[in-house]
Amino acid sequence: MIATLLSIGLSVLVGLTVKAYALPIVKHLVAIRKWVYAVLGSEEGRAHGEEMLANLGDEIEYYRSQGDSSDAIAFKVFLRLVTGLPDDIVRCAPFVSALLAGRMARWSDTLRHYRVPTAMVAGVATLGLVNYSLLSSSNSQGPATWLFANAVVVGFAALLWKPGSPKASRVVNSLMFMAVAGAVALVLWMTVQYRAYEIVTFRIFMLAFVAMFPAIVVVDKPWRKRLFKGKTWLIVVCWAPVLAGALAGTWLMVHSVNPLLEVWALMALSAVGLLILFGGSGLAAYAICLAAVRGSAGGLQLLASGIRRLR
Amino acid sequence: MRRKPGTLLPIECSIIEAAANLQRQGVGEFHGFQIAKEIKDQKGARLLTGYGTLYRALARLQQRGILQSRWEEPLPSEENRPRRRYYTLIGETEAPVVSNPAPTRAHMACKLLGRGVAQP
Repeated sequence: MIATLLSIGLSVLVGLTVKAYALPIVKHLVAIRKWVYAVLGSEEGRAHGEEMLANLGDEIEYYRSQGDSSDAIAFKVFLRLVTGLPDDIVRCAPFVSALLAGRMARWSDTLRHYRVPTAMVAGVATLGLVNYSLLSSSNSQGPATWLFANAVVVGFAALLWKPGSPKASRVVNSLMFMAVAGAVALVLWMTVQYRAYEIVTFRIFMLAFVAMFPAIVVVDKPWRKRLFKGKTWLIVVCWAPVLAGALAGTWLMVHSVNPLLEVWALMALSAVGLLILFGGSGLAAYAICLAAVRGSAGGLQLLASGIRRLR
Repeated sequence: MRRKPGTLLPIECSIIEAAANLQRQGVGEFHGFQIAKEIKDQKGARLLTGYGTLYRALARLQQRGILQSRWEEPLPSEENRPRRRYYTLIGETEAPVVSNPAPTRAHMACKLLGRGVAQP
């Protein structure tokens, strides 16, 4: 009952407002018609819009001289607009199709040849995809997870707009490095959890494994260049701390500081795991969206040529 | 609607007839509203011709060389409205327009210009 009364009251209020402002509203409609033509690029249509606006004053004066009220005048002007619409549409059709074909061809060209817009479109699509999968997930996701996932995707979209650039390759390399670090953290955690350090063979194997890292640094030229200026420093700077770290690590493992190590390992594992999870899925989603955007460029080109042929 | 080349639509004939009437009344140049009002008076219609219909027909007549137009001179700053566009009927417009009932009037107006009427 109350809802009915409210809706009736609201309708009356809207009706009275429209009635009070009917004439300004239709005047704006006439102006809008002109701007529609202007947007469509029809010079002739825009010029006729100017004419209509110029003649509108005379028309309103004429209706007033006939004794019409403001509402009646507004209604008559509105009727003239409506009855002329079919002709407006017929006149607009070629401009609309030309505009559509032109726009589609331009979008296609942009998506095929320009990296920034392509990356932006793919980035927005990836964001949508990631957020959709987060929201539709049955596990409740906290705001921190949501922010983290979005930050990862935005970071990718910003960095990967040039897939072949050094920055992008650095990002991918970093992700791979993090995957390796994650694997090491996992091994560490398993070592502590299952007391693998008590096995002598395992200890030797782990030491050898740790000792491999400086070898990678020495062998891999870009890493060497990045980290050190000369080869002389390599032995002292690399091997000594690594060997010391390996010995200290083994000592720590053997002389049970398990709780601390477990917490560290767990923290490292969850952080790296999350980054790998969201980074990997974000990268995959971005790659899919990028491929879809590039593919749709061809579709747009096809549509544009189809519209041009129809004309 | 497709029409044969050289034929005019009824609305175009009405415009020509109204323009000829205005010329006979001494109005050599007319704008869109004047022609719409003249058509309404001639036909005894309740409403003026729709904007889209009228201006599209005026554009077609101009393209065919039956009408020519010019924009009003720049207005004084106190007159706050866009400039008007004035049309003039050109061609054999001196011949009398017969004020017959509606179905034949368009034919007569078009005959003035030696053109047929397209059937809608």
